[in-house]
Amino acid sequence: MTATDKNFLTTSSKSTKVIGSVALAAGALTLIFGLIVAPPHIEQGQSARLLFVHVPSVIATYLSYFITLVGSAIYLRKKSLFWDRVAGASAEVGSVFCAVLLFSGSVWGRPTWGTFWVWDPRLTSTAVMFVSYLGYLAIRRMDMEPAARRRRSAIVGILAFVNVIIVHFSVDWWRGLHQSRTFEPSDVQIEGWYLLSFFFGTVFFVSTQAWLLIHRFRLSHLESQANAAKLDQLIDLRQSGDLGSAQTREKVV
Amino acid sequence: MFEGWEFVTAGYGFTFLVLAVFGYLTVRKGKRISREVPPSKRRFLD
Amino acid sequence: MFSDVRAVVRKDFLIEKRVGILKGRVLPLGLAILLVFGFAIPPDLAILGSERLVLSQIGPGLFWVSNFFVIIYLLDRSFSLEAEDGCLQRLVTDGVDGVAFFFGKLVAVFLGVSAVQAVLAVAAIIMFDIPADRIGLLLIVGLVGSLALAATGTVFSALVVGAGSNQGLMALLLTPAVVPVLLGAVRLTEIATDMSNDLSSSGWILLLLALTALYTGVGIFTFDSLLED
Repeated sequence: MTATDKNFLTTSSKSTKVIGSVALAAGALTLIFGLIVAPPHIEQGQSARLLFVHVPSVIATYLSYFITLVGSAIYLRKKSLFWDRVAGASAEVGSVFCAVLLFSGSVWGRPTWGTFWVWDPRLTSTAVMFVSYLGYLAIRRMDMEPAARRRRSAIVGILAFVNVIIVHFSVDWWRGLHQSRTFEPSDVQIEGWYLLSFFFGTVFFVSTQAWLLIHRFRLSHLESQANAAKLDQLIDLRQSGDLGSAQTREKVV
Repeated sequence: MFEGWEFVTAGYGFTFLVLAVFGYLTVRKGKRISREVPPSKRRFLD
Repeated sequence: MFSDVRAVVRKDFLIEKRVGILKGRVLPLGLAILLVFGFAIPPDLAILGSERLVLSQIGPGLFWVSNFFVIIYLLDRSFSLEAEDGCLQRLVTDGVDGVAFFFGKLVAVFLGVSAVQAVLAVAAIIMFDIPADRIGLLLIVGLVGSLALAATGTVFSALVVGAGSNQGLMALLLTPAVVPVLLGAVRLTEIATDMSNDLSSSGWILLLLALTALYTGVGIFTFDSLLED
């Protein structure tokens, strides 16, 4: 095995290493500035620090699901495998961020509102959005002819984005407990160490998202290549008349 | 006023742990699966 | 076009006549679900200062949730029949296009749900002691709500039709999508059954109609390609 062969035995590359380094650095800075440098909030105390991961996780979730929308739409027009995989990988990554968003919001809500969960429009619609995308990931794995499955997944990938719009505007449409959008010219001013911590948090989440997206994309590409390779092997075995032995079959599958 | 560290710890801990574990599992699976793919088809679309 | 729609509806109607799934299984299931809800909430529980028992106040919600369970089962039946023995291919070779098929299924599902719902509504009104003086309004709410349910359900059922094993998958996709439909239908029913409330909240009706239009559009747009799969 040569050195170049070895490089391909992984989903990482030069570009992901750069993005990964940025993510690690931004993650460290988020921890330093968010947990140590930034002072506790006048009203919310220490728990306000959770917003430095909560708000960026919202951005990463929205961005991921938006990429899924774009990938699905382009797939329906061009039928390109590339965009189908981008859409799927982005929904996987987005759902991880959505779990982080729900959890960080929940532990922030306990000291602030006195409860982990309230049936507020934004929380409820976020939970619905999360489940919708789990449904999207499930339909991507449904047992069906691949081209038909990809087309139907793309339709669901577009429909699911309605949830993101509902989540985003829920604070305006219905009155609830959740505070309005954080980055909005309102009476709440974010400045100084808080702004800096938000900045590092956002860089951390967005770079992590890009890193994960590229890796998940390559993984799904490799998975389909591996399946195709297995199929080829089985066909070869069948042609050589060797498929009868269970041992050879087991070796391949 | 100065309490709430337990929630901060839980939130940050969960966040970083979940992202790290997800990233680690992705890379590990990628390494495992690329062995099953013939070298000629191992390149990505980048 | 219209004859194709009628043919699809007639086909489902004949199947129902022969097999009797609606009255034999779907309706009993709906009644059983209503009963189970009745057990979950203590029958004499009341909120201080309120004249009506809790069961009566949340009755509209329980009614629509049981409707939703019923429609999942009904859709599963209705669309798994299409996938069996090459039914869909036969429709395509007979020249039925996707739009006609969509409207045929939508009408059949809507009629089925409405029929079951009518019986469930009477049962819920009696068992949960829901005030039902505004019968006309309740009728409109019921029809608009079940139309929205049927449109949403038809689209998502078609998306998984033909999958090797799709049990649970359709329900997983449909449940989050149906949340706004249920929300609107429940609020409207609460307004219609709460005597003290005025009827100014037309926004929910608009929401249900808009969702019906949205999913009808999606159905028209996608069913042709789904039939080709």
